Order: sequence, then structure tokens, then C-alpha cells
Amino acid sequence: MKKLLVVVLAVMLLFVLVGCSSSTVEPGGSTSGEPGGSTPSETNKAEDQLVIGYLAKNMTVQWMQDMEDAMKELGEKHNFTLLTANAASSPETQMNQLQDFITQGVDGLVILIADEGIAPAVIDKCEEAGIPIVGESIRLIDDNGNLVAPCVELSANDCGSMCSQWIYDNYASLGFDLGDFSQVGFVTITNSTIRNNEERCDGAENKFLELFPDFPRKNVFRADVAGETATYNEAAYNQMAGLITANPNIKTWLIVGSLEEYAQGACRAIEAAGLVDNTILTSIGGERATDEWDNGLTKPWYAASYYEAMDCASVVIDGLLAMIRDGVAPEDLYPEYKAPGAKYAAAKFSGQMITYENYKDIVRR
Amino acid sequence: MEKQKEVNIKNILQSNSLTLLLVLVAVIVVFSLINDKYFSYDNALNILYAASIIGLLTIGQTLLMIGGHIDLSSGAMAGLAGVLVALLIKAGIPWPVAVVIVLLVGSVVGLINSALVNIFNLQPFIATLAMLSVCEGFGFIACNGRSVGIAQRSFIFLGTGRILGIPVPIVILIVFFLVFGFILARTTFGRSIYMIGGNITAARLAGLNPKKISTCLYIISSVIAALAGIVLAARMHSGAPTAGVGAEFDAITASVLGGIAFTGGTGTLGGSFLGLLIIQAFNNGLTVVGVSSFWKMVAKGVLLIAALIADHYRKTRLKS
Repeated sequence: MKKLLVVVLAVMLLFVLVGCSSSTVEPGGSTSGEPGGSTPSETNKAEDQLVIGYLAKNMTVQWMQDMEDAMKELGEKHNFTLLTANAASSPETQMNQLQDFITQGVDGLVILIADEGIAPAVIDKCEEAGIPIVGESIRLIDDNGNLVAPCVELSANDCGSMCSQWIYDNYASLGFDLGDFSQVGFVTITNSTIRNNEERCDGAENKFLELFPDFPRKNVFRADVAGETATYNEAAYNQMAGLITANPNIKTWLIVGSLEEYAQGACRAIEAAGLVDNTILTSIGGERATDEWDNGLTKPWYAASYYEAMDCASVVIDGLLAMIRDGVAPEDLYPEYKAPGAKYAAAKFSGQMITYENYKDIVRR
Repeated sequence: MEKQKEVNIKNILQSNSLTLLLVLVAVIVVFSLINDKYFSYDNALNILYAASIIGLLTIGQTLLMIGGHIDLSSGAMAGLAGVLVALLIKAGIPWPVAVVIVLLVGSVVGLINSALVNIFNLQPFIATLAMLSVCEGFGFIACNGRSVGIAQRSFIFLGTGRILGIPVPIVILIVFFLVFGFILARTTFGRSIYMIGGNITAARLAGLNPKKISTCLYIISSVIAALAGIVLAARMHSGAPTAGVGAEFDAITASVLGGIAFTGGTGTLGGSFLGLLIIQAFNNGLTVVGVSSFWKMVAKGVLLIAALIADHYRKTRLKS
């Protein structure tokens, strides 16, 4: 029995050694919150080499993987090391990881929060430890909707609008006849627990109804994956499949996925229902779309609002480094985006529409 | 006398708890060698902090498993409890009253679990799996899918405050382990749990009422899960319907690693506590040394497999 446990422990240790992606990294720089002060590690050669922690909501999502890559690239340029923690969508896990990073003495934090509700708790911990933090993609807000830390977010409304505008500008040239609205359905796919998702869908829906003022409201659908326990793709598949089944009168579907993973799930559902030629699918986020186009699948996913992780990461890191190295106060970050009366600002970045015809010229690989 | 001493020493050396302690020490030593910040007071507190919520669920799970049952709804119960307590506080109800109400809800869920198993004769695995879905669904319905914020500092103290320098969740964890450890090891009720788990027929013949005892255990499990959810909500400053999802899996892993057999009748809370610490120390270590999160998932799975294999050998040894 003891021999077995020794063998098992050895196997576990092997996993640790093989899986260590940055085992030689030691936190350096300021390490407030650590008892007894910090001891500079032997691996820190530059005087101001920093360690930044990225608390990601769920690393299976393409966006977060791209953000990690972009920040690692920026790390080489700005002399910092990036540590990443994957919360796997668990708020408790993310809080534990935050605590671990604080103990490890990271110099700054970037967070894509696992649940909007824990933002005040996260900020309390960071303020207690004296570690600056910037939120990305999902706002860090309190129960009243006020920002509790500087953030960088996608201009959700604009990106949603862009998708609907593209549908309006291109449906005719794609051979779609929208003359009979009773047979047309407009769907936005969201996760209602995430404000940014809702704003993307609101942008898409409002723009669509502005461009098609006579479109019947009963044919406007909001597919919500919040209650699903499956992966993002599967959840969207289930929602879309349910809509198709429940509305046999609808022959043409116009879909905007607030995330590319949702669009991918919807795409599979459309294919399964044999409605590929009767659907225009667009998404906010385009990496998955480009994968489909690389494989020659140009229908029904015609276009995507593409935004680069580097665009977001640059703004995030610039702000974080300004706080760490230049002593800029969080309240003074991104002043051009600060709303009147607000304590913090949410910097915005936007996207551009790509299609299977032009994506190779635009998308950075 | 000498022979007696020899036997005692041999028993100690062969005891499961000593083995677990050695494994825990080995985990700490290995990670400390890789990252010198691992072996620090702050990091030790982190490990216990991370263990506090799962630990409470582990107590309920251990008691049930020793009694030959299981509860897969405890994680979802914790999530539901967090949402309910947040909603009640937001509605203006004083938080101590809100806590009592939520604990009562926990006891109702426990009663339902017991009824499904003892009256309708459903397998505990199936019955509590169904209740997991019900509790999770109600959690989402209650708050419409969105987290409910809690601003009351006196309540938040339960999750973030300190007593004599020790975080409150850790104090609660230790107190509960001590209390239930005593109950399990030193009381008639505790012995009866072992009896119904070890041999239910013999227990009945001995005059015990297995259904009554298991009802108590299901209620204890759900009430403790509700408490875990309340503490978690205090720590997160919000009640989130997604909190606690999958936590029962971690609690079961800790129990099995700590020597609790699925068939029931064996194991101690002390073993579960050590199992819990091993898992959390391991998780913490993987984060601290920067292991990719996907490798972490593999490592956790390997740990559970090891626990199940060890459980198999333990049963074989007991039979022989």
C-alpha cells in the first residue's frame, strides 16, 4: 500500500515537472502584502522586471487564449512575465487564485472576471494587498452598476450594430429575399448573466429594428445560454435547435452570435436542420469564423465583427504599467473614456467586419 | 509489554492517517523546493482558505459515505443557499435571521433527499443527482441568473474577517471538523453511523433504525452545505448561482482520498481532513509553480484514480 502511494506520488510529481510551463519564474519587483518583505529571486536580472498575473475566467475560450498570447508578446517588449490562472468559470476558484497570486507577490493583475458579482470582493483584496488591477472584457462593477476599477472592454453596442448593418447591406447580394417578414426570424444569442453579451445583442437588435422598422417583434428572438450547463458551443446548439423546432413557419434565419463560440454552435444546429442556404450567420468575434473559412465552409457563417486581442491587451497593459511603473492612480487611467461623475473609466476598443473574402488580409495569425 | 509496544508501533506505522500525513508532507516539500514562496504562513492560510468551503461539504459527505450513502446535491445546495441569503439580506431581513431561514431551507432539502432514498427507495446517487439539478435550477430562477450583491459589512465579516488573526472561514472549518469528529468517534450516534454503513442488517437486528439515522445524515449534509454557501457568499460579497457547481466532486475526492470507502462502514473525519489538505495543497502548488490549467485537470483526475485504487487495496486488506 505504501509502495503504491510512493509510485503514485512519483507519477504526480512527473506531471508537475512536465506540466510546469514557467516553473523557473519567480515573482519580482514590489511585493506588498507579503510577511517579512520579499527576497529578489536569482532569475530576476533586470531591475524593473515585473510579474503580471492574468486571472482568466475560462481558458477554453479562444479570446482568453489570444489575450494570453498577446500579453506574453507584450511582456517581451515591456519586460514582464505573465502568469495565467484558469478559473474554469468558477468564482470561488478565481478568488483562491487571486489569493495565490497576491501571496506570490505579483506586481499587477489583469482579470476577466468569472462572475460580475465578485468584483467588489476582488477589488477589496487587491486594495488590501496594494496590487493594481485592470479588468478586461467584463466590467468590474458593484451592485449598483458603478465601476470599481478601471477596465478595458469591447464597444459591445457598436460591434452588435455592425453585424446588423452588415446583414442589411449584404442580404440582397447574397441572394436572400426578405420580402415576407412572417417567414424570417432574427436571433441574437447571449448569456444573460454577462452584461457585455447583453449589450452586444441589444446593439444588434436595436440596429436591426432601426433598419427594418416593419419587422414583426414576434420574430425577434433572444437565445439565452445562461441556464445551460454544456460548453458554449453545445449550449448555443441546443438553444438554436430548439428555436428552429419551435418555429417551423420561419424559413429564413438571420443570426448574430454575441460570442463566436455561440455562433459556431448555432452554425452546427443550422447545418443539422438543413437550413444552410436559408441562413445568414454573423458573430462578434471572428477567430472561429476564420477556422470555418479555412476549411472551405463559407455558409451560413458569412461575416464576423473581428477584433484583435492585441488591441485590447495593449490598452490593458499600458494602463497597468502606468500604475505600476509611473504611479498613475487608477482613477486617472483612460481619462478620455471617463463618464461624468464616475470614479473609474472603461476604455473601449472596437472591431471591423471581416468576411471569407477579405479575412486573410485583415486577420493577424 | 515489549510485544505490546511493538504491536502499537506497527499499528501506527501501518495506519492510513500516517500515510496521508507523509503524502501531505511530501507534497509540501516538493512544491517548496520548486517555489520558495510555497512554504510560507500566507500560503498555508491560502490552502486552508481554499479548503474551507469544500471542507464543510466534505464533513457532510464523509458522514453519509460512512453510513453507506452519498449526496451529490451538496454543491448545488451551497450555490442556492448563497443566492437565497443574498436575496433575503437585500430584501432588508437582518442577516442572522436570513442565515437561519437558509439553514432551514437546507434541512428541507436534506429531508427531501432522505424521503427519496428511504421512502421511494431511489438509489442515493440518482436521488441526489436529481436534487442537484433542482437546487441549481432554483438558484438560477431565484436571482434570474445574475449574482446578487451583498453590501452589509457585518455579514461579509463571516467570509473575510479574522478571529485572533485566523480567517473566519478557517475557524468555522476547524470547529466543525472537531465537533463532528468527536460525534463520529465518541458518541453512540457516531458508532451507529458505522454500523448502518458496515452491515445494515446487523444494525437493524441490533435495534438501530437505519432510515432514521440516514435521515439525520442527509439533513446534516444539506444544512452544512447551506452553511458553506452562506460563508462563500460572504467571501464573494455576492450570491452567485454558479457558486458551488462541481464542489461535491471535490468533497467526494477528499473523502475517498482520506480513506472513506464507497461501500461504507470505514473511515474517519481525520482522514478526510488530511485528504482535503492534500488536494488543496496540491491544487495550490500547481497554481504557484505555474502549471498549465489543463495539466492541472489531468493531475486531479490522476489523484482521484490513485484514491480509488488505494480504496480498493484497503478493502482487500480488510477482507483478508
